[in-house]
Amino acid sequence: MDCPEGFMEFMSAAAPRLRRTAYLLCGDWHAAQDLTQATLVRVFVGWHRIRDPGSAHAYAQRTLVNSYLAGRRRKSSTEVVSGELADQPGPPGTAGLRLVLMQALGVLTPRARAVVVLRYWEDRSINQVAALLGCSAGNVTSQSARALAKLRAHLGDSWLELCSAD
Amino acid sequence: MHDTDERSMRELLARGAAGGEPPLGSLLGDVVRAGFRARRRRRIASAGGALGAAAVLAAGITAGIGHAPWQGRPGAGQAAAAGSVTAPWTEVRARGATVPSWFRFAAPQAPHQGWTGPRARTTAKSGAELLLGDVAAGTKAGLLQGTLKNLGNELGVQVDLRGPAGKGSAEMQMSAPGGRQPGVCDDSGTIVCRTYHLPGGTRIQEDLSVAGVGPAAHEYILSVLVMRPDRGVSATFTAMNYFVTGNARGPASTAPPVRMATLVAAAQDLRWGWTMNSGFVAHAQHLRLGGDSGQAWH
Repeated sequence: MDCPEGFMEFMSAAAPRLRRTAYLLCGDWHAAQDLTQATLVRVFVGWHRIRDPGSAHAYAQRTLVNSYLAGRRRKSSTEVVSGELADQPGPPGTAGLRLVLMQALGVLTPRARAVVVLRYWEDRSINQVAALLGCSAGNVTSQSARALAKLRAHLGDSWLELCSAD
Repeated sequence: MHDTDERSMRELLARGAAGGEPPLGSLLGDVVRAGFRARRRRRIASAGGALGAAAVLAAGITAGIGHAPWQGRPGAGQAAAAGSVTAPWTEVRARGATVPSWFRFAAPQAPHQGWTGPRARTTAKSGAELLLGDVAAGTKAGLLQGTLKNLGNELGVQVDLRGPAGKGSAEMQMSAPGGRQPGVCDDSGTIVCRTYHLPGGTRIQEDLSVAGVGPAAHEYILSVLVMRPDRGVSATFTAMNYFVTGNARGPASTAPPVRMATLVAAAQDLRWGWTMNSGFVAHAQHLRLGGDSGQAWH
């Protein structure tokens, strides 16, 4: 039994980027690894339906985001969301930056977080994000604006420190 | 201001995602293995179920039809034997494929008795406990996982096993009424496959297939699908010669840790059902189920 033609090449090229996106969505590397694997397995199963290799990455990205949002919906009944952080962030170094950033992203709703990651990490246009998430462009615009405002309010002065830190 | 925020956000995310990234490890191999298994499950689930359809097999596959006389072999406390019977079976073998020397189809057995006494809804833990009882005698089990899926219409349990018979993984999937049906043996990875009815109408499909690419090639998968005559429950039992966790795999020639006969007997176990003996279900709640980090062997 052979791997579907072209899948290994696609996976080798796409997996690192997909996992980084998953990391920004999930906030930890273990969950990101699981999410990436689940995503790529779905792509594997549906590979025969992908006629244009160029669309494979978009398909994978959509699958990743949908899997993330579906997973968050399932967990929503067991997790308690808190607006308060137990500790204040220290001076942001590289590791510190990640920690503070992940905590800040954690205050967003899963959908808003997906919007932020797709818009500002994946550099997708508003229309592309809207198509990926199955909502209107106006909805993406308002969600991203609200998310940025929430992040800025949450981070306060840390926002400037983070942006200027090397 | 908004543009500044957007630009800053891009920089923050780029720096946040950079560095501290663990290696991909076995991710790519795990994806391929899990992909083959998922594709296989999907094909089984969507197959028509008509044994007669084996006559319209894809090119490159030869089919043989015969009769298998067999004797029911009940164990202590089990149901009476069905007795010596003869039933038609259909065997499909991929052209050019080599059946490993260790492989044998199962000698069909009469099923165990079902549960008696007060009933309670089957849980992931009770399913896992029964899986261990059915397939893992004398072996050590680790990374036990049980899940109720698809709104509770499917129960899945998987466990890594190591023991005298080898090492690898075993899985069980039980579907609700009207769920999976035995299909034709047309999966692309199949080496040899056979389908038959037991006396009483139980339908069984046994399958040996191979998965993997590159260095991981020739990983063997044994699979049994049993559908009860009343269509009340269908169960798929699978054994493979690699850990589902991907941290160990057997060489090409190694057999899975569970033989086909054990899988068939386990899949026919009438104790599998959407309800079980309530005492057993309560007892099973003490079973420890691990997640991806649950490496403890017990």
